[in-house]
Amino acid sequence: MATRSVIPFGPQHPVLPEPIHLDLVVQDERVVEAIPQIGFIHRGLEKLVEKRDFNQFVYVAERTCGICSVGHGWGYVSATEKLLGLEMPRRVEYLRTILEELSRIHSHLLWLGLLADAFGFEALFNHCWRLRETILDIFQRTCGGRIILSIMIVGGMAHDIEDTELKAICDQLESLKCDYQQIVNTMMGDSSVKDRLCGVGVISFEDAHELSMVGPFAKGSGVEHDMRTTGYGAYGDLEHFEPIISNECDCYARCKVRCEEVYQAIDIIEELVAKMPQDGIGGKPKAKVVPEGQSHVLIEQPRGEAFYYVRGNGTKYLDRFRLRTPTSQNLGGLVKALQGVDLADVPMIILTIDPCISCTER
Amino acid sequence: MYTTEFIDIPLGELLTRIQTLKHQGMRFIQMCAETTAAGIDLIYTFYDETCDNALNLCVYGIDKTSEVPSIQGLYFAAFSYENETHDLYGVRFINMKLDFGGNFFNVACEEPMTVITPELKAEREKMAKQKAAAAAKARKAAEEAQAAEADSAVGAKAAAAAEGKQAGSVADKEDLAASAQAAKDRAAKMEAKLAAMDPEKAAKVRAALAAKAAKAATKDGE
Repeated sequence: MATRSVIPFGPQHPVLPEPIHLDLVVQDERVVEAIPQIGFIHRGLEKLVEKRDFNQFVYVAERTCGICSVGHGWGYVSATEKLLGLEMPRRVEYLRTILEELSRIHSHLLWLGLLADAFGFEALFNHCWRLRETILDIFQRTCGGRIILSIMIVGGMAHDIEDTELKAICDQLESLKCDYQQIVNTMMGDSSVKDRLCGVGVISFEDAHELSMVGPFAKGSGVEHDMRTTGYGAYGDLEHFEPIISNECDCYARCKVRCEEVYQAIDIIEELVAKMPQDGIGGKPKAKVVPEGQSHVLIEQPRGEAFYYVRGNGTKYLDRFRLRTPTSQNLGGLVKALQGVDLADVPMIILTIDPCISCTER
Repeated sequence: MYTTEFIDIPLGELLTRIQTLKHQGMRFIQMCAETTAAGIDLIYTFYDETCDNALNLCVYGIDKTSEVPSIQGLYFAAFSYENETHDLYGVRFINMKLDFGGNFFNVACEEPMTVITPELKAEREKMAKQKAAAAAKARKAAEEAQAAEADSAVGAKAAAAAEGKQAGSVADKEDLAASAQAAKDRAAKMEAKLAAMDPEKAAKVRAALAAKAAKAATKDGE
């Protein structure tokens, strides 16, 4: 009878950009069970809501994670605005949506670079991150920061982005599209990539649904779930929006979804820039306190749907801010995907899930 | 855009309700906890398949002795939230499929999220004081209005009695009573306005009014 042994994996591992630990129970090089553990960098950011008033807290919410900072800022301000009963000008919603889509491109390019690096394609890694620089430069030019933008405030935007600037962004994205096409063709058409990803880490549609998985992880298993279809922000003004899904259910399918989402994001930005309304960018709310009550919103982040909950108590401080990240929701799927796989495939499976532990450990 | 509903349920009904939602095909979104004066509140969020309707089940007043049934058997994705809530809030869950036994998060102190920070405590106390002050002022204003009504009724009777005797001075007295009544009405209106105002701003207005009244009294004395 084969013996079972436990192999610790992470929190520091060459392919892991994030500190997650897994106890892999293996039998003959095959993973029987995987038990995840996080909590190495828990910062208690949600607790800070008691020390920062509702206007200040947006800066804390943005700092939850470097990659998803735009979405976290948007999620927090949207939930608070909902609680305050504020209606945003359309231009604000358009600008926020454009920034979120830029953030999606930057996140997926970062992830694609890491995947290429894990394969040993260092040149591809460099190219992906070079393209990502284009997005970071756009952020720096329009918002002043490369990662933490601090452009969203409760009640609107801290400052406007000129229409000429928005057109310049579209031009840059058009040229990025050509370079990106080459990278994707090279990466996704490569036989060694297919050998490592096709048929690996399979999660069936039923399992994905049962485990309430979100984002490209779920879309790669055919789950047609994308919060953008609800039309929040400016997504409701798009001519046509359909989530990108793939039915292969393996690691390759998840990669395909993310690669396609970059093209979709560019198309969304171009459409919104063409339709940009001119009704102002709002401003700080007149209310000095948040009324008693609770509200929540869901935002489709690059890694999947994120949940933001706020509870007001009639003072300028919120009683509670809750952020549920896509990775927290996908941990169950991760455990499932690792069952029965070869030990050598574990790094690839984890990478294709694209976990963000910094977000998860608010 | 989706609709959001918050439903309060007792702890005993939690599992049954969630079983029903599971059978209805609702997606589990999250579970979160919050520390309040009455204990810990748990909020379970679900969405339907089309994301058109959100349902939040709220269980209030969980204490240290409460045993919350785990929903991992129905929604395995809840394991991270239940372990997190156990580590950060000290809530006891029973029948967990994946139980880290308090080691999911490496935290420096036990149940850190149950600590109420001095800032929040001060803000809550301030809010309670402001509410109490506003209520007391509203009560006082109502009492004063009642007293004024009673006074004016007595004054009216006295005026009627004296009507025959001092016909010549009736007009003056009526003027005085009317002006006194108008002043009382103005004061009551102002009090009502102040009660509706931001308490800090109301205090400033009151101070200004008091200063004005004092100045007027000094002038009259001179």
